[in-house]
Amino acid sequence: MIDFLQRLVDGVSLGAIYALIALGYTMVYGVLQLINFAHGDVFMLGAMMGWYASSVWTSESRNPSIAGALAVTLFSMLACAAVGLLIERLAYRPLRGSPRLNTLITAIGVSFFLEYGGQLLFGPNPRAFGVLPHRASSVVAGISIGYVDLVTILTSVVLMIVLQRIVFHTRIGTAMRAVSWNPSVAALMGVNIDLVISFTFGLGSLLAAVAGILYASKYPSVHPLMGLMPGLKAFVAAVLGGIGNVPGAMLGGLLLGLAEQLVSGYTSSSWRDAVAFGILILILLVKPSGLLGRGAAEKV
Amino acid sequence: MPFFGGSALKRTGKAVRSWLPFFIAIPFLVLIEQGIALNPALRLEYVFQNINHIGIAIILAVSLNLVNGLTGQFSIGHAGFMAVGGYVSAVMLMRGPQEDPYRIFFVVAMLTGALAAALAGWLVGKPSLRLRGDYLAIVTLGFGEIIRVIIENTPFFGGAIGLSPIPHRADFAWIWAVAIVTILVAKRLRDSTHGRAFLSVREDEVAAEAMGIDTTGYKVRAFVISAFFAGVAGALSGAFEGNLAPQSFTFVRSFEVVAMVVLGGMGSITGSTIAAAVLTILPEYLRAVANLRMVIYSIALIALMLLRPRGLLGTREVWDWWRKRRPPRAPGRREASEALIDVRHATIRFGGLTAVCDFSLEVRPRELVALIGPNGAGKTTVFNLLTGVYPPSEGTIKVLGRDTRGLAPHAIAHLGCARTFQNIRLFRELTAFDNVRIGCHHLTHESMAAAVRQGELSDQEEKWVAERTEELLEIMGLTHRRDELAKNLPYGEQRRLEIARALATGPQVLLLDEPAAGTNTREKTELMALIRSIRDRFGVAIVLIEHDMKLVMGVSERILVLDHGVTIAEGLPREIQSNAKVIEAYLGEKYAKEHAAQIAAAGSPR
Amino acid sequence: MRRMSAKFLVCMFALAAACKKEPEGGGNVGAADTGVIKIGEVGSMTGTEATFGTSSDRGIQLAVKEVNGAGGIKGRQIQVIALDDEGKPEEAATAATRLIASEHVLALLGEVASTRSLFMAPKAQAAKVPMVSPSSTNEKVTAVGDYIFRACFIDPFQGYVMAKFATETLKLKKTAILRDVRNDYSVGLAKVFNDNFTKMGGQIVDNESYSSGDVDFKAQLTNIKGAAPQALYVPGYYTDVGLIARQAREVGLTVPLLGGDGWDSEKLYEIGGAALEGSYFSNHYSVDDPSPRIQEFVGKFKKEYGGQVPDSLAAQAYDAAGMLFDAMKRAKDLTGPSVRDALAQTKDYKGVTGDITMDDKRNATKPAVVLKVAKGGKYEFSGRIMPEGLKQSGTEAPAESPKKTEGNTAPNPAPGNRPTPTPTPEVGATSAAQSAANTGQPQGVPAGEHPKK
Repeated sequence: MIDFLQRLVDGVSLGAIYALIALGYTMVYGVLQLINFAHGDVFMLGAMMGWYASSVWTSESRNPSIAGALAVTLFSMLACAAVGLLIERLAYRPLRGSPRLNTLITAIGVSFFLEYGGQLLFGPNPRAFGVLPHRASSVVAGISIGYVDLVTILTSVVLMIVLQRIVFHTRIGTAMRAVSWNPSVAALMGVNIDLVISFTFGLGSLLAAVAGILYASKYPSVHPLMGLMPGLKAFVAAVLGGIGNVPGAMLGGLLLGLAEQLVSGYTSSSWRDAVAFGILILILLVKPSGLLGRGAAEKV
Repeated sequence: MPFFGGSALKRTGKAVRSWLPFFIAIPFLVLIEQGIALNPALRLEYVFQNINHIGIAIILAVSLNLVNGLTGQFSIGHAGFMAVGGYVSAVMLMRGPQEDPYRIFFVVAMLTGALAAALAGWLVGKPSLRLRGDYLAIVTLGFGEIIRVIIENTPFFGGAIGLSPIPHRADFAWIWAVAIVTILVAKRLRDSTHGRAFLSVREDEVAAEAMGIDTTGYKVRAFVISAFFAGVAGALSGAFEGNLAPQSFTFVRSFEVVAMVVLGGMGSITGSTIAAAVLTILPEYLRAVANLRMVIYSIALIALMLLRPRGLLGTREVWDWWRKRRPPRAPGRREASEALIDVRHATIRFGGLTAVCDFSLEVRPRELVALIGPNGAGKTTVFNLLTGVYPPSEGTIKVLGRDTRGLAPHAIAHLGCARTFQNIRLFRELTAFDNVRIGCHHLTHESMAAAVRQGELSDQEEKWVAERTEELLEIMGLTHRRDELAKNLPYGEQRRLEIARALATGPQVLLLDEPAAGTNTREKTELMALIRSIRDRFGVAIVLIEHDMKLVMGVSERILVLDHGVTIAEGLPREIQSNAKVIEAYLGEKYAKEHAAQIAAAGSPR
Repeated sequence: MRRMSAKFLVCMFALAAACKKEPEGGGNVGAADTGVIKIGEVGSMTGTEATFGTSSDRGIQLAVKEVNGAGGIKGRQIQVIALDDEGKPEEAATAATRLIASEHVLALLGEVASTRSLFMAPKAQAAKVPMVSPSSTNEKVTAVGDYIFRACFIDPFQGYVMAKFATETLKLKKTAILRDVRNDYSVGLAKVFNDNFTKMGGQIVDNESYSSGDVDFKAQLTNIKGAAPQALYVPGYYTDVGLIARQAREVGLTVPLLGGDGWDSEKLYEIGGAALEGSYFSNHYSVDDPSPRIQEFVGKFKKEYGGQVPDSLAAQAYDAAGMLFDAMKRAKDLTGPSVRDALAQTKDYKGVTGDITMDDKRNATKPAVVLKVAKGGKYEFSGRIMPEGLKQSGTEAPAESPKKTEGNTAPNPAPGNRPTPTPTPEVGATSAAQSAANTGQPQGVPAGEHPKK
């Protein structure tokens, strides 16, 4: 039983990270109907920037502190937001009228560019990472919860709440939602489409950066290809929860993390990746709009 | 119309002629292989390694084009099917005979692998193909990964280290012979009525379905055929390299093939072929820049998407330049037959909203019935019920004597009920001629295999379809627009084209959804005449949704009025015009006053 | 816009095409020339395996630089043409073909992964170009033909090494295994360990797997913990092992980890940290071995590559290249068949990873060592891991399982101690002479010491 609970805890902490990345996916998809394949690589850049900031340019990683961690994270967020905006401006904006397939190919191209370019720039070797101060794991009723896990879960919840507020209680949030429903009409209503989309990208990239830092703190091996799988899994999580739906992304992330841990634990663990895809396929066949999404019927 | 001429010799001659390119090519291929490729003195191994890789890439790209390009579905799991075909055939080859001089066993192994891949394609496609664009992409990606994970974890398939040594049974000649076959098959399919069916699915699924095309069936078929050829490519690859490893079948591989299809132009077989060659060779050329190679490749890809998104060739083909135009023929005649729509107490609810309540309608042959009412009354919903887009929550619907519950729209269209759409759903990127031709599709009988074989039946049917299409275009006054893309036609002509397309399906009853929307007075008068002439000439019953009262009153024999999903009146035009409920709900006092004289004087039109 | 973009694309492609270096035409390798001798190298410089390919490449480049600096071979300089295969097997085959057929290389170095070596080998064999793999450990590789060699030991050996160490030195009865299914090296080692450990009377209580690139192993480790093993065998690469060690401790699995030469890298401790202390792995040598040969290599490597400590892949590649050059020196002329023969006769080549001799299956017979990860700071920052080499005194020739027993790695200046391996069909039946090798042990550990657990 303890085992099961431990797996649950592990699943929640893994799921929280998936959720953070999924939030970025879901927002961009909601606004642009684009699966931003490069999102996973922005996440990687977040971790990379964090590593540079804490290990190369400063010595924060040798004496980690909360303040230092926050500073590094902030820097990484800004860097990633800049990258996200750049990608949107250079690669996606020109393709706005094009068929979906073309934009998807471009997204994949950007993803490859970041990965291989990253290998060139940063070198392919993995690097150790640490920005959070070392605290012991808490043990509650025989189950150990890492300090990083607690921080992760807390941060994810806080960020989700902030995001909900932005999306539902601010003007820009309303604009985002308007664009997601009907861009041309929103434009006619005076919404600056370009601004809204850029904002969405920037926001998503900020979240990815935080996810990158937390992920690297939990699995302290940072390298240019680290974003591939988490990116894909986060996308699955977003779809699972209902793409375009913010609480859905959180729920999806959580469920995916749990499923992965439970399936890996109780059956063969090498099928772990297959689990994510299996879930994706299942949900798309059974309820394509996702758990919390609403189906959009096509008017005939 | 069909001709019963031609001796058996003539037929054989025709078959031989159509496969001539292939027969001619084979000796050349063998010659090149034996004389050049396998000649150690020439040291051209590297060149031919690349040439053979190009050949396999062509098979992959052209087959994927069937799905992604022609049918407009978005699959990025091609590598998975390649793996299935490759591994199944490799396992057979490794357990097969040591010597195989005539390659008989190899062919058996290759076909087995390909069939296994086709089966996998069916298993993946059947449930997934009803998903929308991006989702389908991810699902296919997922399946590809799952297949790879299975291979990696199965010792029988060699696990991580792969299978080796695989007997070297395929080289230049085999690879390129198959590549040629793949191109020919794709070309034949594309040029046949099935090819048009694929295109219609890409252009507008809803309209295609309404024209009697089994869209899901066609999607699955495209998927299965493309998976088959991917399997062949996998088998050839294994037999050529002598090795198979799961690392060769990652998502990256699938994506490379997708890039080829997109670069070449979605739907263009020529384009896919050229792009396959370019994208296979390009990384080799970029070797000189070593570490930068992949970075340059990804930038080049992005640049291509940005600068030339339709790919090199768009949907054009190299052989389109050779196309001869078929001359139009005299129009034929169409006989009327018994027709019946019988709706009883149909109700449909969407969640808490009852869109249509207790609706009943009977349409007899050659009747002209109109359905009017304010916006949101449920008129189009009635059409959707009739054509099978939604099943009724209650009540029965019978079209041409058959209960339509559970029938897909294309089946109902096949029974003889055709429609047009409120918002015009033409196949915009196809010509007027092609739009109407697609309407004829469900009446043809040739199978896909026949299309590929270019048998006699396909010739006859193509001819018949072309003639019928010319006739319809002429009746609709659209002959001069024959080769114009549908999206470029003026609005009024687009509407007429849509009607022509619906008529091409050979219906007994035609449903017209606001055919006069956006037309001016003169056009409306012409439309009235057109509607009547259609009814007379084709003997169809017509059910009309319209807001223009002049048109309605001028054309209909019977009118139903809907308001908030409920039939509030039914009867002759003049009865409706003076019906108080109708006036209150829809026509308005002003109308009643203005037309008081007309109502009193006029009887039922024609 | 259309016209412009089409022109632009044409220009880009032309540019890319112009970048293509023309392969040199004609020329038999080794014909009486005074030109450079061309050697081909195939490795994964980009892609998921890039870190291994670049490491290997560095070892090779260093070896080339040295040999050229010393005057080359037979008076001619060596030129290495290195091609990237992106970690893809069919690319490895293409690269090999290009090197053989277009660049007319005399010999090939590569690849690190057995799968890719298997794709390359048939090409080399057919063209009679000798090929030396630095690190492919799957038996099938050299079985492709008599032109294929390797400078490392094979899976059956290493797996045996650890199994023996676990049973005899650590006196373990129960272990679990966590292998990387995506990596044939790991799968091979795990299988051999499994077979040998059980044969030696032990019990494998749990068998789990992961895929390289995974980051979360909690599920598997929790299972393993539940099976209560005395140790956990993790024959994977350092890129994953570091994380595995950490998470093992996090789930409360305190038993030592055991591993293979894939662990060897400064990154291991960097990522794994204190979680690794008390664990053991089999390797070719120890980077801290004070023997001059090794230290000289480490020093040169660090100097050449900005302070980076060589990992086992770099060392093996260095030796593979060195072994090839040594054979080329001994060969009667510089043609494929002659070099091949010389390679086959390699005996006691003094590599940094041990004294290498080719057996009749063209696999390297050389000793392995087991190292312990003891208390200490991370490699990079506070010095280094302090491994304590543990050696086995052991001379038995295991009945059917192949491979010699371990000796110590110390490149021992006393030649008499070197065992003369007899090229028997099952590789390496040992002779008693070998145990004498123990005496010259420069490591601080006298024979017979047991590790403190």
